[in-house]
Amino acid sequence: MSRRDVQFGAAARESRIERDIAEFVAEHYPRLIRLAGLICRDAIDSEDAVQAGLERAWRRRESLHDPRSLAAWLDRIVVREAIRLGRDNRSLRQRLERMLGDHDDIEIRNVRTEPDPGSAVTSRAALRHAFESLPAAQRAVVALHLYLGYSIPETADMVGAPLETVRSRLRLAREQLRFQLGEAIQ
Amino acid sequence: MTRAFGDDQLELELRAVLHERAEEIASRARTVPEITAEIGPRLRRAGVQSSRRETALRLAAIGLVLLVLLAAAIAIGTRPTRPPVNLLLAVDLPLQGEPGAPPIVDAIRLAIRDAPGLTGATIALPQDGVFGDAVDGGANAELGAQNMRQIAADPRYVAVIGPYNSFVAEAAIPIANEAGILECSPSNTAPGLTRGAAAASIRPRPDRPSYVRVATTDDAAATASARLLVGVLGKQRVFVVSTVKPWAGGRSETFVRAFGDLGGVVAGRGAIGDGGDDPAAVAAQVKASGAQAVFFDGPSSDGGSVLAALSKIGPDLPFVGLDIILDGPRSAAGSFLSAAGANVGNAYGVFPAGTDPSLAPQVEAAYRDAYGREAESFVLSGHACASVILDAIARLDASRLSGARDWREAIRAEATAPGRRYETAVGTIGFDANGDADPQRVSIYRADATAGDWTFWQMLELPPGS
Repeated sequence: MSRRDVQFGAAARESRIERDIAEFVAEHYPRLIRLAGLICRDAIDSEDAVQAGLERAWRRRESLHDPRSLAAWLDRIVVREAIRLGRDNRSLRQRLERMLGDHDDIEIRNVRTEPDPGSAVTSRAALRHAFESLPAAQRAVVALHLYLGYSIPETADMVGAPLETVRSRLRLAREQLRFQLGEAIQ
Repeated sequence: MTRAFGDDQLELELRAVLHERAEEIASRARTVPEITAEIGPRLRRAGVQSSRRETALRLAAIGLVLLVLLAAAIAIGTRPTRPPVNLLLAVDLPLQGEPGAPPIVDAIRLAIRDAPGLTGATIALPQDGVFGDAVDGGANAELGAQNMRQIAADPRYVAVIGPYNSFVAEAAIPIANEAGILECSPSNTAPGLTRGAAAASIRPRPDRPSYVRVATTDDAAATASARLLVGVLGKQRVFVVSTVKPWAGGRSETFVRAFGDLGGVVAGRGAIGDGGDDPAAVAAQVKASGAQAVFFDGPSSDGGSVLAALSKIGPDLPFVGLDIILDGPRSAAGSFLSAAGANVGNAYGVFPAGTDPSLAPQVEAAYRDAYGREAESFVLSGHACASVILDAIARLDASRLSGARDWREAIRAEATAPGRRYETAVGTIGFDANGDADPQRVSIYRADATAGDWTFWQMLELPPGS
């Protein structure tokens, strides 16, 4: 094999890798950014979680025995990364807010909408605020179960928590959403 | 899919909200081509490197295995294997008269049982390492100091968990600091133990920090209460009820300052207990003040009586108290909930430690399995102290440490070193230069009127410097 053949072979291999990467990102990024967006505080943290997940999954893709489980595997990686980002509370935005003295730094933000009894829009806004106020681990199980449709055992596997913990998080989430909705429309 | 969320209408609405938020984040985030351009080069390097290295790695792996086998054969043949050193923990707690203390011992044993194996060392909490500092049913500083002297003098002990009470810690810290043995307290909350002239006066070796605590300080808990009212519950006018004489180091004054800093207004203040008004009179003052909420700090049964009186005459206001009101279910005689009666659904207790959303439920479940009862009070904090010490031990290089005295100093230095982080049941924490948990977190408990007990509601984290 000549030196030229070797170079041509390397170029072809790199081109194939480039195409694989583009397909890999195009296939999974839209779903993952939405999933991370439900767990992280903002688009920046969501992108960070997805990028970390994509990179980790790409590097370890050969260890995946069943290609059909790639999406679930990616979801698991991104969810855990998103929870970590949410739990560690280390986003640049939050640090800046702290430095600037913003009082939004506590886990639950006080951006309650002025009540307008009977308004579906207000009710939706209150529910959204209530969801955003949940701890990251609760947002994760709600997102996996209600948004992506994973069963509770699958959700438990995704977040690496016992089944009862996931049930408990869903119950706590429901109670807190009901409570905050009640508060918002009083 | 099962309807585990259990509320069809709420679930339907929530699905719509999830969809809306997901789409909004997706529209704000970068597009597929942009993200591909960003991470593509990194992924390409990984891909190219992996294919180029594949053959080389296989050859290298074979060579490495041979080298390791050779090195192991030489090492085994020429050097005696050092047996693991047996390290002991000690505990100092008021084991009589304080129901919250004995479960901490169980939590520590649980942490040791479930910890990954250590290299070059074993760790245990022997029965004679469990020191009680109670006399006649109450903690005693003199006995706490005597225990610490005994622990410090025994080189087998490499770290201490305790004391439970701040006034005992005040007596024990100088002894532990002089001896260079690490103390981790699950429950000390007095700010003066770690800050200011009072803290300096009990550290003969300030160059060699030896005290850390996983509990949040009283002033941080009072500040968190203000943030709970303003930031979470959205209340701007509060009525403050406390004792006539300063209570628990003046936490209500810290609360008033923090509440004012957040833009809140104190609508009125009332005194309860010895020399103060009766509960009905205080309730009437609350109602007349037009307050949107009540902050309470004083004896728990007095607080419950005020809430009971308020329930009879006034609106259903949020009632926030510090850890003192978290003294058991309605069935416990003399508890806040037993005095407060049926209308407690709007009562909140601020507990001075965090609750890790992932690890805490696991520890609680393991505790329930092991001991057949619920993990209450400072169980998670006791487990967290044990986790800190076990993590610090795991990070040490056993081959460089020859005996228990070496280990004691290395554990102290590792646990108090700046920048270390520990994943514990009270959250991922480190310790600042004073030995205080960083960040400062509290757990909010809400009374469940139906169950007649407190249930964990959420965790709040204070920003640095608050």
